[in-house]
Amino acid sequence: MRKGFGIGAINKKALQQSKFEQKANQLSENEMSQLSRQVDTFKKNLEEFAFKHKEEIKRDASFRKQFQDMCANVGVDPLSTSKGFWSEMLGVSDFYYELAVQIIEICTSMQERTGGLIYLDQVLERIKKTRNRFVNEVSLDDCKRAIKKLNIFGSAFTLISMNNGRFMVQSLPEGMGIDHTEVVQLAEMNDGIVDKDLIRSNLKWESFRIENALSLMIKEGIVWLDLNSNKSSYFFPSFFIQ
Amino acid sequence: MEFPWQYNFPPFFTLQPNEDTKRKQLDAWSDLVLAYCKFNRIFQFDVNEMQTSELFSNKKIDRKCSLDLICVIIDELVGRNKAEWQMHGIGKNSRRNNKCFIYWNALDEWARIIYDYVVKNGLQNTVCTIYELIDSEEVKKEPFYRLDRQIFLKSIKILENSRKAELIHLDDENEPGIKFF
Repeated sequence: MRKGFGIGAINKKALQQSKFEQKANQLSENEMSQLSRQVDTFKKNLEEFAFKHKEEIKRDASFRKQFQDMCANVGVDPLSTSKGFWSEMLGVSDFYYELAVQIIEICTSMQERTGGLIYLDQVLERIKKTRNRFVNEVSLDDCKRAIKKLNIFGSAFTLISMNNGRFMVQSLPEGMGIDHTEVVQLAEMNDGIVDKDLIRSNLKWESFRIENALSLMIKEGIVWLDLNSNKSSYFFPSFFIQ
Repeated sequence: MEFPWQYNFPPFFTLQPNEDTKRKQLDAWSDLVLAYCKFNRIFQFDVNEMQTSELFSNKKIDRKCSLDLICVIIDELVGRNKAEWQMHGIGKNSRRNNKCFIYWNALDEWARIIYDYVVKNGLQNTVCTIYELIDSEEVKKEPFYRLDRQIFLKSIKILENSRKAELIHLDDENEPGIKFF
């Protein structure tokens, strides 16, 4: 084709340009609709899968974890809405809400004794005791998820990760911060007991910081004071539960 | 008898500075003292002597209650009508001594239990001796068998006040008898 010159050529070029754009739009529309069709299919498959395995998801803890992980990988959170498709379809949300309620109940009933701090596995043990184990098998992973769902209550229920890989559930009023968590973690390595020297040498804190942390923990009933031969130690009843 | 978990928890033997924790602590101590005394049928004790007993001194964890703490616990029980400090001296000069009664059944409960037994066995309007009522074979299975005499008489006093019993002094040599109505 001869190289275009003049007005006619410019017009033609403009026409070409718009044709190209049209085509491009059409292509991307195709791509989009294809993509959304794929997403729909995927979602449908996932739903079908979930529905088909509903009972297993509810019953089998490790299967449930795999399903959760799979959903997380594709950016779907079956727990994110309480009345959404997922919860209605699966009743999975119900599962976690019920679990969360049980965890709250146990933490509260034990609070009298623990001052609001308890090992997650001890919570799980108590849940298992109260549940019919043939109905729903519950795992530590489930408990962790359920507690994360409790974030809507602010920081009232939090998980503290311990050095030995165990977790503690902290159900406490406001005011407890990182310092207190560190003291708890320190106590965990020391049979549930701390004293000022231990905190000073391990955490390198100034006296007033140690005083602050301990006095709040006394005030909240998380620790008990032990005076023995003029030495003050602070005991966490949470670590003395058999 | 079985001790509660707190018994092996060292701070249990230190009076807690936090009011809520102290409440839990004194609740647990009250229950423990009553259960211990009931199990061992202890009706009264001297706090100094009791301090070294198994109740207030746990050798396994090397902790014992201070006398102050024991007194706080007894005061708590007194507030619940489950203990009473013994006094010496008379009137204005009377002072608390180191001894106390422990009522794992409150006095009015003892009175009711004794009176129920009397009614059930048709002993009203007869004069019974103290021995018959608390030491004899007949009452071996009753909760008030071998009841402390002073506590027994205090319970009878309550029944007297509600006109359900009357102490009858026969002569100076013998213990008084009791007539129930």
